[in-house]
Amino acid sequence: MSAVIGITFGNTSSSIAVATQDGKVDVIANPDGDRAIPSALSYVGSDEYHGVQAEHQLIRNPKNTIINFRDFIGKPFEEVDADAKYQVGAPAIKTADGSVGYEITIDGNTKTLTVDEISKRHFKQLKLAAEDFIGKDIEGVVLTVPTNFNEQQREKLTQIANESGLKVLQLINEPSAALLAHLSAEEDRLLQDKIYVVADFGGIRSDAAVIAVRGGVLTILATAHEFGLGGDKLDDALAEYFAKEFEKKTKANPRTNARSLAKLKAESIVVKKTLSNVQTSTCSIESLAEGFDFHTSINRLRYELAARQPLSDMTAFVEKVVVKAGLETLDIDEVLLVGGASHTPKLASNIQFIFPETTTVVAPSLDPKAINPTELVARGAALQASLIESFDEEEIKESLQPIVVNTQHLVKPIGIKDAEGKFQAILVAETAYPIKRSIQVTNGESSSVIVELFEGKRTVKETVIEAEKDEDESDDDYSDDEPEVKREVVYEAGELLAELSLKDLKPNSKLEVTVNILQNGVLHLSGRELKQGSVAVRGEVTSA
Amino acid sequence: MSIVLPSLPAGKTDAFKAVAKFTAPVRRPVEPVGRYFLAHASRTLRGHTWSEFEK
Ligand SMILES: Nc1ncnc2c1ncn2[C@@H]1O[C@H](COP(=O)(O)OP(=O)(O)OP(=O)(O)O)[C@@H](O)[C@H]1O
Ligand SMILES: [Mg+2]
Repeated sequence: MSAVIGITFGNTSSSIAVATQDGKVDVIANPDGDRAIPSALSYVGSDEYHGVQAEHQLIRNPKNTIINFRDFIGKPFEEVDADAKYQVGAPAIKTADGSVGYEITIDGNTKTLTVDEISKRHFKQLKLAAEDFIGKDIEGVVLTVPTNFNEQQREKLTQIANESGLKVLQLINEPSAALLAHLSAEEDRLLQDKIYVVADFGGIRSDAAVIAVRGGVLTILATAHEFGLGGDKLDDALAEYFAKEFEKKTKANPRTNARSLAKLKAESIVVKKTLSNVQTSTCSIESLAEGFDFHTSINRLRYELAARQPLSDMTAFVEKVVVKAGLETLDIDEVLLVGGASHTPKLASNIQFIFPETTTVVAPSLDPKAINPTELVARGAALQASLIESFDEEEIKESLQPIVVNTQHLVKPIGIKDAEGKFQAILVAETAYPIKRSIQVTNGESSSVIVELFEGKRTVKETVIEAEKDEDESDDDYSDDEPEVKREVVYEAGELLAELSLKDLKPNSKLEVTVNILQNGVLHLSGRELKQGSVAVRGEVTSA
Repeated sequence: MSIVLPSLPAGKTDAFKAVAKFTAPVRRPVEPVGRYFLAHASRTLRGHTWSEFEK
């Protein structure tokens, strides 16, 4: 017996998930009980520690503890930022072959471990955890990568995973995996044509993608990446807040030695996570500096003030990717928050604030039904793994050829005009073709009708909402405000593409209009009465 | 609540008339994930019909 799984490997944490045939997904806990497994390794004597146990060694044994190495895979040393502030633990060095490595003491001997070797060991631990949990061998894995992983990094990561005994079935993009998991939670959500922003706030980086979903097919319209922005910045803000308070109380500075800093950081992470769930948290650190213990408490509001800058940078980052896609916040149907830092309530509410009311922001603090943002990517990878499980390697490879993947997309929607002159889209912009879509219409009282095929034109409709007259306006601060204007995107009939007529109809007949765009770009329009033996009227339109 | 088509204006006799071309498309990669991508792949590679997937 064997199984296929999904793995996401982040700089901060990794997750493993497995899907059953009926689409249910389990996120796997490792022997420590963690589902977000710290991507960390540490060497003490002849022992190797992994995950949270390795992370704990950052205080006592930082020189032999390796974290934040995922982004170094497949990159020459010169191209990585080994000196970034968040690079604590064993310092990255340049190896003989010019890539990234670490000098580690194992059993008293100094040894250089390349980032490939470290990653391999990490994968082996993940594989063990998965096999332990599932009770079967792992036959194959779908792995996720950031959208900006280059070809070399993708190849290297695949090679490393394969060598660790995890056969890579497919590499998929993190935001697409996350969105797939989100849209698979409910029947038919995948088939709703919508535009999503997938915003992933991790530990040491933020990534975002604007994704159009059309007929269940996902297309990335824009991506953005920011290194150094993420949960780590929130920890730092909190650590600095605590450092100040500690200094005031004790006159001792906890920022001057590495061990104090590591303790401060570790506790700040715990406090930060607590404040995602409850309004106040205690903070207690034994012997923080110069022998002084530190005990205090903090409420969420103070934390949010202390972390205001990184939180607003993260919000601005989401705004940026929308602009990069050539869209307005108005065009976004849903924002899916992904990654551990997306648990932060203030981040979710800040992001909700920059979008209109018509945009849904999906985050645990806004919607209790939202899937855990730390698990979304791994869940999507597991779903993909179970989907392609039955295909052989050749078939998967074939489906990934450029001819399949690089697809034409409509720039403007295509639809018809109804009797009231309103544009009714049949295919929306960004739909990939070949595609075929039909809508049902009627002739009403007319015996002959015309199907006018149009391209849609985007307009923004503004409606002034009259302020409600409130009799007893007690706190009246807002009553002199400008009237609220509701803006929404409305498509109107633009360029006329074709006309098709249907004649000799009984009143209120059921009719069907079909648009079928073939791979060669020829659009076939047809209209027919929905009854036995009816003859369709057809015609063709081509693209410019 | 179904969409009502406009009546055929007097004097229009053509069963079908193409008027203009639709805007030139853009080529972008689609994400190779999910079952609808697999359907897209089959369609592109083997020219399977739609109805085979609608079953
Ligand atoms: N409940 C929580 N509340 C707030 N922050 C959290 C919570 N859980 C995890 N985090 C933070 O999320 C970040 C890790 O996110 P994630 O696991 O998505 O990382 P990752 O994908 O490995 O990221 P990267 O590659 O950017 O380092 C850490 O900063 C962690 O402290
Ligand atoms: Mg991540």
